[in-house]
Amino acid sequence: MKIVSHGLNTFGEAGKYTSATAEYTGLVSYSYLKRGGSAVAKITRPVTSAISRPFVFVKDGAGKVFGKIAPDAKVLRRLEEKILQIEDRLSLIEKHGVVTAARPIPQEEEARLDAGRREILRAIVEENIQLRRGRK
Amino acid sequence: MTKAKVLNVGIDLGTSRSAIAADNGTRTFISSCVGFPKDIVSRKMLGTEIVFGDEALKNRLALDLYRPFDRGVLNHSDSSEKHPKEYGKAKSVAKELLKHLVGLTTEEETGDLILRGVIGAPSLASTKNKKDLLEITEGILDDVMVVSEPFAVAYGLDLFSNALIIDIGAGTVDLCRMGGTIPSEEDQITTFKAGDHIDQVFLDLIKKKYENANLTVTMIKRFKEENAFVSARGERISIELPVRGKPTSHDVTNELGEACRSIVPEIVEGVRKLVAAFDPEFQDALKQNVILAGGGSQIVGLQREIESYMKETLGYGKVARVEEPLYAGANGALMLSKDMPDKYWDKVKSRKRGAGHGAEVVTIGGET
Repeated sequence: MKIVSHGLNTFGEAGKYTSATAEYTGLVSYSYLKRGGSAVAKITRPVTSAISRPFVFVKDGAGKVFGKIAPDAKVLRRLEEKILQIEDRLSLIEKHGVVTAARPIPQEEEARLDAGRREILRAIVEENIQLRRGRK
Repeated sequence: MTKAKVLNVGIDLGTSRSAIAADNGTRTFISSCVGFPKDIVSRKMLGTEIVFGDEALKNRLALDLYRPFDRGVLNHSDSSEKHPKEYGKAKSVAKELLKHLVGLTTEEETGDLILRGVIGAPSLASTKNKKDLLEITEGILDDVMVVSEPFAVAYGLDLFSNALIIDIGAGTVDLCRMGGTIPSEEDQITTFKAGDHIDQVFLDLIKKKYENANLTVTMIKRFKEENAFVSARGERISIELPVRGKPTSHDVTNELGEACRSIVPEIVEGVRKLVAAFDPEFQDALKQNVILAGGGSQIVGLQREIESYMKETLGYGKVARVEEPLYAGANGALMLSKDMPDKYWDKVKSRKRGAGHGAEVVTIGGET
């Protein structure tokens, strides 16, 4: 199979991105677990290693694949499968309460208040602002 | 930067009693009086420079006793220019009382605290009255808001529409009509025939009937709180009063009943006015939802008495009493404080960050 130099570079770049993404996601997952404290970490060590295994595999695999020039269709398929596995695991982690920092966590108080109640609270605040200004 | 815990408190500073409820589960009340030892002997005997609540009442002979609130507002609040000295004293005493009350909720707290409080004020308290309340919280609470006391009761009960709250305190009876919005002046009535009025009428009636009996308002206050009624219960009520130094039993059934009934006509007149001025379509709903709160609501038979007056004047009336009359205001104020989002608190923030407790509020991921 002949691969043109331009195509090869793009493919190589994509590989690097995949590798970096896998590594980053693994680190994010690890950091969330680590934040749980050492006691939790002890209990979750088997889980963390299980979770990080596919990331390590992908990282190593991707490194090997993209380090070499010729990608194999078989290797690519395996890579694809592993990425799917990672996605599944990520969705599982998210389902169990881990959320990415980019998404704001809704505050309990905000979630609990309906529009009417919020309106009343806002009016009380306004009244108190006026009171401090001495206009009321 | 240190992480500080936010502690919400709901406060009801009353003429006779002051109650506080905090979200760490503490809930308590004390008599609204503060005593200072009269001399070196009393100071040595009491072992303190300041005494609060029932302890102060118990040792009142050895103390200069102060009640900082009158008719639900700070003493001399409306005549501060005429009586600057008395007003200043009332303010400093009220501050001590509040500090003590808040201290009761923070005794077991460790670490930095941010104290947020909502304080109830009588329905028709003036701007000056409310400002005084804000001022006495300075240096004690980090963030504070003032709301109408009966509104706080309504909020605590989740009654925002078609309800009429009657908060019977020692100094005032506050009536507040809830029509789905923040109650305006038209929705509220304050009358001054409240618990203290009952005490005075009761005292006068006993003195009239038993000329030789030696008694004071303080003596009959507790008796009234334990025995107050307005219905014909059948059993007789007696009080032991000293006559020339000898404790003597006196039948005061009729006097107590009459004294308690003396506040009812004004309450019912207030109810009538508020119902009559309400949207005709919702008047029936309002009449079915009259709620009694405050210490005075514990008078036996008061619900039925108001209902029968309402039947006479309005054709119908259904009156209920809150489960915890003494804490209804403080509980509602606490709920308000807890429900208030951080960003709303920020709008009325008067606290100098880092000055009081050396702390910053730390919230994660939310709007602040």
